[in-house]
This record gives sequence, structure tokens and C-alpha cells, in this order.
Amino acid sequence: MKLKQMRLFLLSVVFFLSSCSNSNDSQIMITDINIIQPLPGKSISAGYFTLTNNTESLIEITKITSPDFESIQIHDSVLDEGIVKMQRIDSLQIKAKSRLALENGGKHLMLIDKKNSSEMISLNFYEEEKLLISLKTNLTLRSK
Amino acid sequence: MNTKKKFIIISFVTLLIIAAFMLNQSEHESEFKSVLILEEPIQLPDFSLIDHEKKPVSKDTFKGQWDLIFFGFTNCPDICPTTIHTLNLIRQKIKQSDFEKTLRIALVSVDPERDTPPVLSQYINYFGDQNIAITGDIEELTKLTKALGIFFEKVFDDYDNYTVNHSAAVLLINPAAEFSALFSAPHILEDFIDDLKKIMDDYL
Repeated sequence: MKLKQMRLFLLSVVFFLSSCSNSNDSQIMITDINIIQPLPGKSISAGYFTLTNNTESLIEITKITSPDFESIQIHDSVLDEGIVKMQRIDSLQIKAKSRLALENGGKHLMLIDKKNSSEMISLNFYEEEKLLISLKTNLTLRSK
Repeated sequence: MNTKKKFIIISFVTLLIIAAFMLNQSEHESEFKSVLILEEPIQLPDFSLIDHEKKPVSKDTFKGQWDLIFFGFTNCPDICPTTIHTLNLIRQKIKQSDFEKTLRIALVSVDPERDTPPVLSQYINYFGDQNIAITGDIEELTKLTKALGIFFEKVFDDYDNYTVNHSAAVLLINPAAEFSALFSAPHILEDFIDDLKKIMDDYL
């Protein structure tokens, strides 16, 4: 009987934790994640993903941090009359019920100075000082 | 032959010439999808740079093979490595044995201050050992970029870091060390390959 109660309790805990995670994910989702390993001899790399805002209001990501990198900047590559311009931008705005794709040749993360040799990294996404979502992902090799 | 007949014949011949010209133009336009062919190829200027193995690089370095030149820098995390990857794919997909001269990829750094030969060596070798990366004195670099119409400009941000804005085009240098064609960005892989094969096929 005690064992059965224990199982029931554990199942309840698992259900509670998973529902918390889903509730978080339902506000903003991050998919198609591709954080690229720095090339040999380089300390910088790029990160791409798709942000989905499931809320009725605009979400503005103003800061992205990681314990695995010294700093992370948000950049936008623009092709202007044949000239590539890479600009640092302050935030990523995702309109209500919309998606924003960070992709090659457009908005992307610039990840600077990896602190360790781990291939698994964490990223924390903030709106001002409010943590919106965290994720863990493996670095991918840049295509040769 | 009366004047009226002469007029009709002249008009007919003129129309034939115009039609032939238009046909030729439209064939020429549809022949290439992603490239601008220079009517008169431009001879590379005299310049003196070094490669990723610290070997001297001059216009003679570009004689004897085809080169796809891209002007970029290794601190660029987005466009530059992607372009080198695309060019590498193109080089792999073009069957080298079908052509008399081989095809090489050349990265010319527009950030020679940070892109020293050891930095370039690790970077370019990641993409294979048949490519070349070039750096050196900024004045010598400018001789090359000016002659080829390539733009680059160092831009500082509010945090005292800098990036380099630069032309996104890929230039084709023929085996006589002449700038012969320009592929504008964005580069569509299949179109690029088709056009490049045609140019290499037609080269005497």
C-alpha cells in the first residue's frame, strides 16, 4: 500500500513539473535551434532559432545570457546595394501571436568567448530583468 | 527595281536584322542566371600580399587555375563562413576532371589587422586544403580592391569594437589572372554552378 501511495505521489510530482514546463513554453517557444561551434582558432560564433510568441501582446527580448559564453550580442546582417553590413541591435521584438526567425544573412546571435569545452550550452532569454525562458542545447558543427 | 520595291526589301532586311538581334539578346539574357560577365576581362593589378602559409601572393598567383574570390573576414560569424561553405560546395559539385584548369577558392581578408596568417590558416583549412586565404598590408590590399571595384570599410560600435562592412559579391578570376565575371549576392547554389560550368566550358 505504501509503495502504491509512493508511486502515485511521484506520478503527481512528474505531472506537476511537466505542466509547469508546458505553461512556460506556451508563452514563448524556441524551435529550430542551431547554435554553431566556433571555427578553429576563433572565439566567436553564430546562433539561429525561431521564436514563437503565443501571447496576445508583444514580447521584446532585451538580453540573452549564457554561463558558457563571456557575452552574447544580438546582430542583424543587412545586404545593402551589394554591401554586407553587420549591425548590433538592442532587442528582438516578436509581435503578438507571431514568429520571428533568426537565420543566416539576417538577425542572429553573436556568441563571444566560449568559457569551457562543453558541447552542451545553456541560454537564458530576458525581457528587461524578467527571465522568459531558458534552454539547453548541443552546439552544432559549421558545415564545411 | 522601283522605289517602292526597294523600300519593302530594305524594311524586310532591317526587320530581319532587328529580330535576329533581339533573339540573340534574349538568348544571351536567358543563358546566365546569376552572373554578370565582363565584356572585357580586367587584368589583375600589381600587388603584393601574403597567403595563410606566409607565401607571397601577387597577380601571378592567380595564373593557371580558376579562382572564386570572396572578400571577407574571419570575425564575421554569419555571412562570411556561409559564403565560404557555399563556394566549397560549388567546388565539390563541379567535376574538376571535366575542365582543363582546376577551381580554387580564395578568401581575401578585409580585416588584415586581426586576420594574420596563423588565424587564416586554421580558418581556411577547416573548409579543405585546396583553398587559399590572403592578407597583408592594407595599402597593397587596397590596390587589389580598387581595381576590382570591391568596397570595404571598418565600422566601430559604441563599445569600441569594430566590424567591417564589405562587398558581398564573388568574383571569378580566369586562368589568365583576369577578373572575368561577378556573382552577386545572394548566391543560389544551382544557378551559380550552372553559370560557372558554362563559363568554364566556353573558355579557350
